[in-house]
Amino acid sequence: MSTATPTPPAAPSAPEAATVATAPATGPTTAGETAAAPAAGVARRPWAGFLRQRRAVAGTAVLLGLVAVCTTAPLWGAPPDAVNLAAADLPPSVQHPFGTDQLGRDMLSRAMSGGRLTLAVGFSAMAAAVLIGVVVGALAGAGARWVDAGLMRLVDVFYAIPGLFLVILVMSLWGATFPTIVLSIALLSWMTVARLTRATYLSVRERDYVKAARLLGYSPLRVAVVHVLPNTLGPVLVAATLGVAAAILLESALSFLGLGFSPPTATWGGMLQDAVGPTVQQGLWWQGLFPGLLIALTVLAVTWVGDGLRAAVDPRSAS
Amino acid sequence: MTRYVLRRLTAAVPLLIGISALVFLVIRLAPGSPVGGSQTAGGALDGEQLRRLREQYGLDDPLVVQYGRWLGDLLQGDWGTSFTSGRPVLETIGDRVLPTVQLGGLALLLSIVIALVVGLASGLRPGGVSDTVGSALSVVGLAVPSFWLGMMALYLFAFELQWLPSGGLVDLRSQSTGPDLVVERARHLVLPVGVLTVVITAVLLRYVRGAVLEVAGQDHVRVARASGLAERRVVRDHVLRNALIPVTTVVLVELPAIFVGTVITESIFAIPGVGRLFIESATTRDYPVLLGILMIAAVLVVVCNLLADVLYTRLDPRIALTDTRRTA
Amino acid sequence: MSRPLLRIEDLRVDFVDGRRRVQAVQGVDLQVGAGEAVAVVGESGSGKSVTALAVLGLLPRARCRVRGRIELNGEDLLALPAREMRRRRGRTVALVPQDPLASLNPVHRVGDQLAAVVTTHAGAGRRAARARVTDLLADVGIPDPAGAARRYPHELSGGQRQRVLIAMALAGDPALIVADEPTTALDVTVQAQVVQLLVDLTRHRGTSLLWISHDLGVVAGVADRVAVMYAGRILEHGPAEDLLLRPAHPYTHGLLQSLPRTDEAGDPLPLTPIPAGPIATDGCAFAPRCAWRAPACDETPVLRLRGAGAVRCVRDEPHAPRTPVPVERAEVVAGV
Repeated sequence: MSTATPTPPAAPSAPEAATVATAPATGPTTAGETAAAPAAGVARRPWAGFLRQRRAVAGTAVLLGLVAVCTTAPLWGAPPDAVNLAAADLPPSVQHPFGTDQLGRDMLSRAMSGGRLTLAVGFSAMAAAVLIGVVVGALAGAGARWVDAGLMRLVDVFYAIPGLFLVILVMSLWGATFPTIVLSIALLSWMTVARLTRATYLSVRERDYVKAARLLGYSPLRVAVVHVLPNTLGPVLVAATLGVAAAILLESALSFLGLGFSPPTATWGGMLQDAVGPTVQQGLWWQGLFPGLLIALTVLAVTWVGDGLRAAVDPRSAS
Repeated sequence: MTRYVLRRLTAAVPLLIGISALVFLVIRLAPGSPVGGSQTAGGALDGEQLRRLREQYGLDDPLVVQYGRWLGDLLQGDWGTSFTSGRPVLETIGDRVLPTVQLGGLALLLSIVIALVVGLASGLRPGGVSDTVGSALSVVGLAVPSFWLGMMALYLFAFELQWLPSGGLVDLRSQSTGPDLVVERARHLVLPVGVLTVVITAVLLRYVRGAVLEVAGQDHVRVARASGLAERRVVRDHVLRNALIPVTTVVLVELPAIFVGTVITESIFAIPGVGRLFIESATTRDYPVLLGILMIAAVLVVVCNLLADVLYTRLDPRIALTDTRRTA
Repeated sequence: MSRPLLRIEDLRVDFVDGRRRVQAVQGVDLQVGAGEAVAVVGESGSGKSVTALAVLGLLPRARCRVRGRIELNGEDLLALPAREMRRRRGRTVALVPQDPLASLNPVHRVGDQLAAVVTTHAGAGRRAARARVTDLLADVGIPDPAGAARRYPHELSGGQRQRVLIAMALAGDPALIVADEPTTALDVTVQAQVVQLLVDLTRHRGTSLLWISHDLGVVAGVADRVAVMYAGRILEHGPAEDLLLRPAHPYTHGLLQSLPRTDEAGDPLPLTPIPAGPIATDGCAFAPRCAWRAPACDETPVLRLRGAGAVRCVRDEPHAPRTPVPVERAEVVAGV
């Protein structure tokens, strides 16, 4: 499914709707500004709220474990690209815990290698999306009416294009390299961050301590960085984390459709694409099972972490 | 109200133009071109023929001119011809619309029903049986990639159990007609619709549950109970009715995403729908078809959003029809 | 005295949230006679609303443990199965809630919501129901009742909405009306009107009234008897006039002193702010804020009879208020 987030006139009280941020300031306030900037935060120890959620903790553990295993795999695993036709299509065993694929490659190590790539794409894409979104959102909030209106129109345009279509389009036309994949996914997700940032900016801008700061001569840029950004941190972090989950799904979908990284690069989606025939026609179930399980596991872990962050940032949203 | 609709439609025009421009730009700026791609396989075309082809398709004119020409044609109903098939774009797309609509429509309908039933039960009794089941379903639908689900389902039902066919819309060798054909079609659609339903339900369920939870805690529900109204009536008139407002909006706004979601399902189940057409066209760089599909999708988004806003005002008497700019 | 219409005996309500348990009501005894108006007064958190909801059986079963006895017309409501309790609601006992905007469904017309209650209790047909709705709206003093019935809640004023809620409570012709702070969300001028309306209607029909409020001033004109609640217990109760003119408990005294006065500048803050944290269950709950605190207050005081009422305090004499409490204007008397 694409990553289009709905924006109905009154946002439903659903977990996915990005709520307008009046989040507690979780970032530090510089000493010089404390006179003008009261610590707006309610959550003095946000991590406590996060850690109290079992799912969030579990999710973090899973993610850390995955990252650890995937990055260290070259040290202990079989080479992911080693073709060995004699050992093709073997079911799971001690030697090959995930079995082998049609070319005799060890699927476990391919999965680990693919995991590195997938995770890298996911996090990079969201980092890029956050960067773009924050910049656009801040510009819209700080700028003149017409700047704001223009940028929001741009947001509307991007929202209107079905995400998956755009990404497929870009990938098929511009080829699949790390930068293009990351950028195209980022282009789908920056809008939410932009809206959040803009909303926070607009609300913070009217507060007395900000006006005081401006009167003292602080530049808009400084106001943005010191006052607005800390307030956006929470919701943006939540949006970004959930966006990582979507990015991972999107990247695997692309690879599955043959539009992602080209062989022999291993990605989970690519492994699934190779596995369709063998699994469905020949019953080699392990070739399809494991990559998909890994995707699901990773997405679930990331989602739980994101939900935990949301609950920590905005305690009211916990159901 | 008609004035409002008209106003929104006119406001949508620049949006559509913006989208079309963006899409057009993306496609045209891409490396590789339709002529010089598959058509020059093996250098079969020499430079002169290549040049003439490019001229025929107007590929050498400045981008703005090309865009203007394309847009003008579009508005007059000429959506161009497909590079690969030579047939008009609208016709090419039209051929493939039905399977997509069948697949997406059925899945959406099923999902709405399931999401409402399970979501209502979950919201009314958080932590209960329905809630646990619902959460599990949500997890599966949201975290599990749909193509994997489809693949595993195919493995189980088509390979192991051999209950259902493994793809396409009809068996290639069969020549059934009439009711037999319907049954055959249905058999082929069971798995794809099932998979897509799981995915859509997962998304909707969260919204329904959230909305029901919020509404159920409101004062007027308690007052309704205090008046002695039957529980069924309280749930129907006060909980469900109020929760439907945000839910309807969400369903409408997510509709285009469902349309897009069929892309993957069609791929794995080999269903000749618009989604697959899009991928094929992307691979062969069939620009006119690509642009056509994207524009249809964009129009769909605009229409759905407009419908959502209008419906919202119908459902909630507190909201008057003003020019609600959703970019709040 | 004939059997009271409502008899609450040793009501205890605990809210359970995971491991935490909050004792919202700790042993409340209360009676309301037929045709009588009893007010329960207290600050936020005193447990008065919880008591009211308990009478109606509206406390969420998952989070609340309710023990004791609530006798209405001789039968124990707490022992009734849910379906039976539902039958009593609206018909034998009805609720007038606070916050009229939130208490009405914004999505349905006012007349439809009222009609739903009417048909539930009277089983009338649509036309008959509509007529009854118009009558009820007229009874509560809403101008143009037929027009008002077609409106949505947000199109009415706050006072009108409250009247609608009163009409809803009257629809089933109950023997007891529980009014949970019905005027709190209203403007002061409207408050008086609504109070008067409720009093007139209940007196006229002989309906008993259990009025929950935090505002002694509002209650003064309404109640035959008053009970003062604090931290889940009743600290004092008695006939309204006695209690208001000669309060026995320091807390009541403080509440009365807190009423804004235009004729003298008394102590602006006779009561200290409510302390944070859970209330100790031993000893007098009010002791930390009491100006007359004594060592004996460390023992949980019991309710002692006094005149036609009772007081839960160790001090023997009723306290002479520094100034008599005005129900009308009063003179300043040299205080203690």
